[in-house]
Amino acid sequence: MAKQVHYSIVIVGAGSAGISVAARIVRASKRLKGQVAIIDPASKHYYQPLWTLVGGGAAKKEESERDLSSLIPAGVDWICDAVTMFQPEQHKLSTEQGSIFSYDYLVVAAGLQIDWDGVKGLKDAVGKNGVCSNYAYHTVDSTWEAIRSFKGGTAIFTHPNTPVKCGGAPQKIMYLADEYFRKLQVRNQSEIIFASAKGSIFDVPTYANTLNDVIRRKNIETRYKQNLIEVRADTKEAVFENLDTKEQAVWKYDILHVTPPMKAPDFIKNSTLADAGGWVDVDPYTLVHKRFPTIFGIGDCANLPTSKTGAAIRKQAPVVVKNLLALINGYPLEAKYDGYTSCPLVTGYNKLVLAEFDYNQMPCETFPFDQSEERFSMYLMKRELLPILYWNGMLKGLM
Amino acid sequence: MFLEDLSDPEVQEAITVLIRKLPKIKDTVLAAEEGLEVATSILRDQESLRYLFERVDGQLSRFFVEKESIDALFTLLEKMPKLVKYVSVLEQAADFLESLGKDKQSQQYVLAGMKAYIAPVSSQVEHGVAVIREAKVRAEGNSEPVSVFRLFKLMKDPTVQKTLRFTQSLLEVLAEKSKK
Repeated sequence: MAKQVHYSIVIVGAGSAGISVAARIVRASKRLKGQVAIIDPASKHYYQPLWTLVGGGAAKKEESERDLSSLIPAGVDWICDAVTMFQPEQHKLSTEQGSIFSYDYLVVAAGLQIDWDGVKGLKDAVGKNGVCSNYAYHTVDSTWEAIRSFKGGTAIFTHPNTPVKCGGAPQKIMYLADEYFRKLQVRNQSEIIFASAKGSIFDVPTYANTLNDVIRRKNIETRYKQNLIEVRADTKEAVFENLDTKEQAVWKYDILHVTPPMKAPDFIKNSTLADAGGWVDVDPYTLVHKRFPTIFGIGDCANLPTSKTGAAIRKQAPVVVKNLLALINGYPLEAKYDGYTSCPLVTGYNKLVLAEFDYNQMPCETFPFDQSEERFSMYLMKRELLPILYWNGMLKGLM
Repeated sequence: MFLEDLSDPEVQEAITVLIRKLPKIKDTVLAAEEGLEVATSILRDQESLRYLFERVDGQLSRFFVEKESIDALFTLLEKMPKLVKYVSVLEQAADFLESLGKDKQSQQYVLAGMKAYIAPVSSQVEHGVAVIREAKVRAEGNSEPVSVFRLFKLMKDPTVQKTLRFTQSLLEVLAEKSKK
């Protein structure tokens, strides 16, 4: 017979969102200590924003990795298991190891799933012969290897036709590569192409203007509405489909940096928690589920119409916790998330545009200067300060 | 009227209960009487009372608050929501620093980052110091007088030329500024 355990609050996923929420709950209510469980099968936790710099040779990947056990807040039980099925009507969920967890309140913070199989030939090709990707711990080294050993030729950087974590990341690594190619003195013998399924370089015009200047200055060719559908590793060819005309084109590459397609985790997609796209169907302001009032969704797995970033989670976590505690205490849900997200757009080894905006794609900047300009100070902040604030502030429920 | 009440079964039951409890009531009344006597005796014992109040006065004098303090307390209560906000921020900052203090990996990360920025500057400084040291050693070991021909040869050196041009320009600028 399956083991049954009850917790007042169950959090699914121990990524940035899950740990932040757990830490905030036990900080805000001592009474809930021992009443909160966080379920995640992983043993390691990664500070993924660093992977852009790892791929560019400006940081070590080991600096982005920590044992998950060291990050679980005191008073929270970590269940090292994978959720397989939700039964929201019964306030229950099942796990891979056969346990059943019942709960009063549920927070779904399961992140997203990289779909390596979404591009034909990619799974086998990635990590060797010039095909690289910053999007996994085991492949990020291959990007730096490809960049530093580049002898000239065609370097293609892709952006898929799906939501991605950190919408700016596919182009950041391209800017670092351009600078490094100049350092290697191979830039004159090379062509850099940004092949994106999107229709422009960035959704927010203020920052798009700066990025278009960067692209002109770096002499990068942009090809929009182009979606990578196949990698032919043996002939070093990439097949793209034009999203408007459906025409296919085959381009030769020497480096192919792939931002893989991403999707909602299957166990969410196949549940009644999901919307038509497979993401957790939440109210975009209160973050409570649209049909199940004791369930919240946060982070990459939620169907929020904003860029999926850690910075967005930093603003979502306090909203989820305030509304969750209000719900427990019988008060109205007054905390509102405005869609804030941030993308530190690295444009070189010492330059960065700090984009911050909301649901209306209106800039909402933190600093009292024009953040759409490339700045060394902002690069320093990303490289040196943000990791510290992440480990010791955000994951501790402090900021 | 009284007899009518007595015929009421409820009243009869109450009287029965009271009669049964009479011994206990008697004991209680006696104990209360004794207590009253003790209290009366104490109140009459002026000396003991004076002694007691003097001691209490001495012990509690430091807790006696003036009106000013009470007013301040109420002002503080009014400001409490704001103070709690600041204290929460301070608590968060303290917790962050405490966490950072224990986080060896983050400390290593900061240290490595700082070293990376300092390394190019410090290597340049080290190079400059090494050049000066070597020049000093050579100059001390060379007692030959510098001839006019040697001076002409030295003046052809690009570094000397650059320095001279800078000196010349500096003198010109200084002259112009002093005229103004």
